[in-house]
Amino acid sequence: MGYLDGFKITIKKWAGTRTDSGRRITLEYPEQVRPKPPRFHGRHVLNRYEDGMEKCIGCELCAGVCPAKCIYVRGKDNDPENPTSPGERFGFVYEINYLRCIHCDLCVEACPTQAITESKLFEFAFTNRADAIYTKAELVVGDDGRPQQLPWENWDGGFDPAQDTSGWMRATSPGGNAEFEGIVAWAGELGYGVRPAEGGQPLEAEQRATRAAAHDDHDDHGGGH
Amino acid sequence: MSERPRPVEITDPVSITVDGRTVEVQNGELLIDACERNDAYIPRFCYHPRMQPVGMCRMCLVQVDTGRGPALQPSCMINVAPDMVVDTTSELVAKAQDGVLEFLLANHPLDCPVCDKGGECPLQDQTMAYGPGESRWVEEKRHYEKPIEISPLVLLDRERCILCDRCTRFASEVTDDPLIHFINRGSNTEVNTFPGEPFSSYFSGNTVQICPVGALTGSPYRFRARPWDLERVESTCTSCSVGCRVTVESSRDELLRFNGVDSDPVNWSWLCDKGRFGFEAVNSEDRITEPLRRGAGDSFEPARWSEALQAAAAAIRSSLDAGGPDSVAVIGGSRLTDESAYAWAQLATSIIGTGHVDAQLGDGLPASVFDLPGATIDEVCTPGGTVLYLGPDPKDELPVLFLRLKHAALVDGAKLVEVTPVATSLERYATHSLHPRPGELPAVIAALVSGDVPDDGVAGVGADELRAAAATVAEAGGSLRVVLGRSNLAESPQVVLDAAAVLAAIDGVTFLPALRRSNVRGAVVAGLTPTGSGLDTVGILRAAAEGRISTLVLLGADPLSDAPDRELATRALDRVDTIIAVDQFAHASVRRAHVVFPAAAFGEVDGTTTNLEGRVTRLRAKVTSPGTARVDWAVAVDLARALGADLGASSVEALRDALVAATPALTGTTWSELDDPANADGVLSDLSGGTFDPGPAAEVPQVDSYSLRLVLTRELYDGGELLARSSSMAGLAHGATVGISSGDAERLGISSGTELLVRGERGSFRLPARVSSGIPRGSAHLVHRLEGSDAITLLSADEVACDVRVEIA
Amino acid sequence: MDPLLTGGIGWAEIGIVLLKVVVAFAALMVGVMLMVWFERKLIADMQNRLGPNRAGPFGLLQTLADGIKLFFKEDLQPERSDPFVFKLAPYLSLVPAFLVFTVIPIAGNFNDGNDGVVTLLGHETLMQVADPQMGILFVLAMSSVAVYGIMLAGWSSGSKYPLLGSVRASAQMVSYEAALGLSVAAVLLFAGTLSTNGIVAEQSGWRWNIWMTLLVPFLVFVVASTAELNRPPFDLVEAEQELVGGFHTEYSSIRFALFFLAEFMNTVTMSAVIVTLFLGGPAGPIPSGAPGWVQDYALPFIYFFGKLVIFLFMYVSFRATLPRFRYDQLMDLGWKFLIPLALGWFLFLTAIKVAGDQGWNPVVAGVGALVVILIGAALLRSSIRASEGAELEDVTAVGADAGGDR
Repeated sequence: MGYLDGFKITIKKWAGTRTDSGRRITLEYPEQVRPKPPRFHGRHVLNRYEDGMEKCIGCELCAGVCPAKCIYVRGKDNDPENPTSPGERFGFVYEINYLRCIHCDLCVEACPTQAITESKLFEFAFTNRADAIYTKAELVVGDDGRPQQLPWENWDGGFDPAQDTSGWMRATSPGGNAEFEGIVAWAGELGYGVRPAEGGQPLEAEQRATRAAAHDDHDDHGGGH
Repeated sequence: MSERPRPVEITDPVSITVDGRTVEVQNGELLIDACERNDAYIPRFCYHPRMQPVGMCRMCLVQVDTGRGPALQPSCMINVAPDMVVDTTSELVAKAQDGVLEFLLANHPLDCPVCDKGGECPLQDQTMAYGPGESRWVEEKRHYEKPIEISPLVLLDRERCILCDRCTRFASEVTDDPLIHFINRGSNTEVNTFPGEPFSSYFSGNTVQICPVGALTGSPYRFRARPWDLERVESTCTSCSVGCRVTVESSRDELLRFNGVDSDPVNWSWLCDKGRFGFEAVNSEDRITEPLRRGAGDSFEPARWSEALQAAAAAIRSSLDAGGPDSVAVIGGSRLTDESAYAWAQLATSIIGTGHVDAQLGDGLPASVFDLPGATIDEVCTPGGTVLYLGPDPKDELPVLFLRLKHAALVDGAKLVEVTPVATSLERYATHSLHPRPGELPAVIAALVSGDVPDDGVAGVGADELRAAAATVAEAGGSLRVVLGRSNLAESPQVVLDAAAVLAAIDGVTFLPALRRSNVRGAVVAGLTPTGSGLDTVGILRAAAEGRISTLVLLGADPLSDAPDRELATRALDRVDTIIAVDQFAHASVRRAHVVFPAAAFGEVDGTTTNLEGRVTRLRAKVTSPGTARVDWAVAVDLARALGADLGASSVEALRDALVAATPALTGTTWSELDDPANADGVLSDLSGGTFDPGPAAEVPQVDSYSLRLVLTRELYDGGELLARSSSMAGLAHGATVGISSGDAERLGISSGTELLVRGERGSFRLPARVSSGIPRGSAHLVHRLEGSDAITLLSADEVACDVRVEIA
Repeated sequence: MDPLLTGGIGWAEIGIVLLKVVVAFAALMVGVMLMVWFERKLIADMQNRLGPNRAGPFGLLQTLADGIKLFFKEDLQPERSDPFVFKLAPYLSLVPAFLVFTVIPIAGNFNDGNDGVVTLLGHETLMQVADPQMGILFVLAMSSVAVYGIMLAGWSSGSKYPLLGSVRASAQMVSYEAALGLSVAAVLLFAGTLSTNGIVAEQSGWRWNIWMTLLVPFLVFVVASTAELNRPPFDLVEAEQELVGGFHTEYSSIRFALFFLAEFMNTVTMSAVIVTLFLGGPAGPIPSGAPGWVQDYALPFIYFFGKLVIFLFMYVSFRATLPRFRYDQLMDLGWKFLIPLALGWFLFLTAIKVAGDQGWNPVVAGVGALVVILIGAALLRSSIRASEGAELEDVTAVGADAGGDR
């Protein structure tokens, strides 16, 4: 009878523990942690260039675009003797309130220097409101380029939290330099250099080769070259 | 840019066609304004409604139907003509706008994330609206050192400059301080100052506001916030009595900047730097945040409000018991709002019963000047009119009034007759410039008015000049406008009143009292002025020095620094039993007080203020006061309660309406009327005045040929309290010098820089000399409250003028 | 009748009764805890999951942890609720569950006409807390009282969702009680007594009612009891408005815990009732050579417990496997299928039994009864068809009217 076919499935699942249909797919968290996809929206980190300078220039674009208004940024002039970021301005105050963050990553999209990206860390187990506001000291990557571990985070689960904190490839703007026009590239990061390209995307060298081969693929420059 | 076209009355209508619609506009006005008033906004960079157009940016190109077909014309340079056909949205116009923006962006750096203008940038907005979607630029952009400090307040980033000429035109056309201009040419053109000459104009902050990109930025606001962080409210600046309209902008309960608002009767969107950057004092750490009581010796201890109020009430009660109402006096109140002044006036006169109240500190003019028929700023600056200027240097005391007067004289053909003890900034634009000896002004005015000029001149003024000026004054007749002020702190104010009495006799003459403190007119009208047998500040200080005043209330006043007799003020404050102070900072007089109440500052207070022309405008609060600081009227209400009485009103609206009900001249200025957005520019009070009683004339002082007569004026940047607490402006005051005329300098054998010893009856000090042709022979010019000279110690309240001896040190 | 209570009631008798009550109470509470754990683990096994495995070994203390958590939650009472009834309702659901268990025999040797009497502390008694003469009637009465608990819970919450949820729940429970009662009646034909002890005694020696009543009443009872318990597939009362919660929406903290507990307690108890009615209770082969305590306590209890677990398993696998009934389908099943079936089968069984008693040919009587039943069933079907058709006609008529105006 058709009614009882359902029972066949559930009984088979219950009975078979090692066979495929009876296989348990639960992971024992926190001892086992499932590896996260490359563009996972986790906790933010503030990245640094290979020479240690912070990428954040305190421009407040992330705060301006945030739909949950959870980022508070204040910029400040770089001390000429001891600059924190290359250029005039750096992020002096940088706080994210994780009780409000919705992990939409609009801030990551808005950032002009790829300073803020989202890592694979997802353990927001703070126990009071004050702890929920992550300050710059907690968000900026350490001297080895890895995110800071917060007291309530558990990194024993067999996954590397520093794995690929910047799962985002963005085009640099030509910025008035013909050499970079049309090339999708990525600035290097402290401790890691230039990260490998995401699946399917060509590296900078490949792109240059392709561009050289394709000769003139610009829009009109005013009547032929 | 938040500019709007000047208001215009359509007296000569013509009809033109804009984007297919037929509209009626004023004949001869600029096409760009006409279109903007009729819902056809034309994008622009270099055009500013308050400056002459130059057509430099080419962004306002529109298609105008000329006789030979449609052509692109810059709309800011064309005047409308009858039957003109304009198309602001055609394909040709769009292509032109796209092209202009591409050119402007060609060398513009990619600074948006770090540029202060980002978020409120006309270049950003117009590029999004009209510009190319992608850049074709692959070359290297031009580079300059960025940014450079062209003045302590303004930074210049030449890479961002789009060479629109706004800042340069402003500097030369509006302020006549042409300190920045284009240098080099062609593609190397840049804006810069002359080497060694910083952009130290009193109005440099305006260039930051009008710059359409982030080339000019203000140091006090640099990197402090982004436009989307800011909350704005419109209010009136209270640094001086011109009452320019400002927007008060704050983020996270901290004042971050002020921007000027175009108010047609007053300031035309301009602000002086002192007003623009004055928010730093409000945010200062030195603010008094809780009530204080004098402890042992000179130390202050924090007290609870109830304790402080009880102590103050107890002091007042014991004074009343021992000496009656006349033993209590109130000095100060010209920095309060109208409502606070009214509350304190009611407390002092009705509840305590004393008549010894004076909002001024003896460094202005007696309140009887408000009985003279009043003129508005617009009336004073009437095109083609005649202005008799008897006030202080407006550029230093009332900067935006200076801009208005200069505009009237240079552009609108007004005739300016300057009668001041030393040359002011108006000298260059004045038709006649007379410099009488201090103390002898009435005689000069009498000669001007009557035309009777003795051949050897009057009071040091030559006969020819006097006669020429008299002819101009006679020509004006009843349309003469007089600006009346305290041009010399070392001269008795009675001198000015005597001069005014002569002028008031002419039928139709109206007066603009140019008194400096922000709400002196409002405070006086609200009742903080001595009436009947009440004493003014100098009288109060004399009475206090004799022991007849036992309790003195100081409302935002510093008699020790500002009263024109330091010695008298010191004796007075020492002799008084209890001094109750309501103030924001612990200045010299507050440090002598026994009970101190913390007052709320500008930006924390809702209320109204009255400017020098009698215009009542709304002040709006944007941030909260630090600690338990409260608005002044709240202190008055609580003090009244502590004395066992009831002031009757305990909200700002109720106080305003009570004040309007009690003062016929203020009809039409109730709270709800002032709150109406249609009255954003304020409401004028009744200016018809009353009976003007100048009082007994001052004696004309004898001329001492061995001395020089002292002229004591103010400069915009001095050691004043609010400036001292503003980190950006504290260092802008000059060092003190003593100004000598070239004639006297030659006679004494001194030149600029020679160290001189200045000796008066009450004191002496050494100062370097400054030889100037603007100082008449027989006068010495000192500036009040500059570091190096405490010139006010030389003054005596009993003398009509002050004589000093000057020798080489 | 419990032999303990014949012949005077002294302190010893009271003590033993109290002991039984305490043991039953404790056992039931622990049993519920384990039942919850059992359900969660079993469903997880059927869904490729692990189920709770952190609180205590194998997650056994999970229910305790949940209970403690619920205990610490804020106890809310809606403003428009009726305070007394609101507080009373969970107990009206919980207490009947306890009470039903009191009449279930859980051990005792019923073979060879022993009647399940055991000797406890020197007194003869039955292995059940009480054995009133009206045993099964008491069970049915208590399930009716449980309906009150749910109905009053929803009504006293003072809010729309709970009210609607409770009305539907009570309608469902009341409908299926009729079927329940009729299948019990079939059992009673063979038991001859309402006392649970008597019913179990009647089934000794492999004369289990499940095949004595020819299976149908057993199936009807299983389905009807699932509906009585508001368990899947008849759980739309608490699952449809799962987002809101049905009759227990406004309950929180301990009160909610009580409802939760009541539901699982009822499950255990109802399974016990099925075992008692149809599977002979603690009956099973007992080797005569075994020691006394094994004969009286251990083996019968193991048999009882084993049969109980089978039914618990059955209920849990219903939950894991079957999709939910829609409310109208549920009502149709109850009124138009189960009740006629139970009634008809009761008729059939009565015919056979009377035939047996009166000496008629049981086969003829049975066939005659079957014919009557089939005629009745046919009439029922046609009337159902007719009413559905009428509904359909109404619907199409309305549609035609609307369409005809164009």
